[in-house]
Amino acid sequence: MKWEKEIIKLLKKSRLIKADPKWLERSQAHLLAYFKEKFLTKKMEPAFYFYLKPVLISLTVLFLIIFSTINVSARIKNSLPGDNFYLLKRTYEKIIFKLAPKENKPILRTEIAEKRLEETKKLINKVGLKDSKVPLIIKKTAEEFKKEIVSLKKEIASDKIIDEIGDLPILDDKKIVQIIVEKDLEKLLKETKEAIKEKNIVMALEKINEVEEIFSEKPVEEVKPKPTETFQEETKSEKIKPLEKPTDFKTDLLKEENSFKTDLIKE
Amino acid sequence: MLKIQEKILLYQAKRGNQAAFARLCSEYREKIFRFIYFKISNLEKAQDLTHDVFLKILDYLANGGEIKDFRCFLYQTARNLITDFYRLKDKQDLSLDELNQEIQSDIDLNKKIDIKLDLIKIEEALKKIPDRYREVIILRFIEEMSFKEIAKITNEKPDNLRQIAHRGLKLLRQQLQAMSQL
Repeated sequence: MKWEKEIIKLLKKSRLIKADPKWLERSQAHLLAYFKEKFLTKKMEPAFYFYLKPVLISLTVLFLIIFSTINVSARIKNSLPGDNFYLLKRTYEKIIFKLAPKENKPILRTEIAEKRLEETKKLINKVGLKDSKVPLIIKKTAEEFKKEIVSLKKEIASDKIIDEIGDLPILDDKKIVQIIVEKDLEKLLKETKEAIKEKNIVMALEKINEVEEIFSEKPVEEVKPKPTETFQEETKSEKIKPLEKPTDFKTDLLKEENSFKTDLIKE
Repeated sequence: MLKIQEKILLYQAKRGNQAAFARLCSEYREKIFRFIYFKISNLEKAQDLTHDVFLKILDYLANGGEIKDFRCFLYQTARNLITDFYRLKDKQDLSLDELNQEIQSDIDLNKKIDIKLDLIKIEEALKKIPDRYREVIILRFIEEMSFKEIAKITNEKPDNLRQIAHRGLKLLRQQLQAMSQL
């Protein structure tokens, strides 16, 4: 209100009232003398602790945040199927994949396939034999690896409808041990990635075929862990309990493989 | 003065730094003087009480007392001393001559006279309103403190203080109107 403003203006004039300067001087001198009496006059010490305390606290908090972020992100990165952070890891991968430009997607997919392969390896090496969930987790991870390979093929080969090869021999866990730990697979995936980077689609498809061949070479009926020459690899030997009897999928696998190759040739 | 500056100066003063204490004194002495002056309307006593406020602060610090908010602590100490003063002394009327030395010397003489008249008016009007309202008006409109800060000094809620300030202004207005009619 107007009248309020006027009164406040009037009140603010009161700030012009000052104490007598002579009194101020006398009072100041007396107070300082009293101060000397009460406090021993010390040299001004640098108040490091006072200045640094808030700085130290902030730095400590920042360090803890950074450390826990690094720690958590490392745990997420190294998490395996069944771990608490695994879902976060997969979610993060999906987000990155979705946000990636189209031309980078095949490379990313290869990297994801590599990761699935690595996870399966780690699972086999890590978990104890007594854990009954192990074969299921390995099966699931291997299926995801297969999915990535198929999707990768779809992405790099344009105008193609490629049938899925069918189930991997994952019911025979002995085979999966031998297949998955095969170093050639890793090498092939790396070569596929490099071929895609160089935009050498033909080479990339060849490499993918080789990956698929590795899955299809092993006959289903082999129950004994008799490693063939192709799969000669000393693994960290831990026996895994066999699951169910394998089904006859080899014929279907070869059929689909052939149809895919025919399609490629037609192109 | 920023709160952080105040804290640093207080910390240094506690550790025996005379210059830090002198700086704090020079920052607040005029304000405390004005506050006490408007409350008791006696120049000499206002000066004495202002001096006493700072002596009490020194004693408190020397005995290891902790002060979280120096400004609030100063005003609370001033209030306590004013309460003691009211108990012992009568209020005295102010004269124009006493006011002469109070107004800034760099102002034009005519203006000075106008200001003096206004100041007398305000002071008389403030005397006539209850102390509760007067205190809030002084702290809020003369010392320009926030309601939050005033709440710390007076132990009232900020919402109550807003109402008190508003009513106080109304009462002041009534007094000023009554004075102008006389």
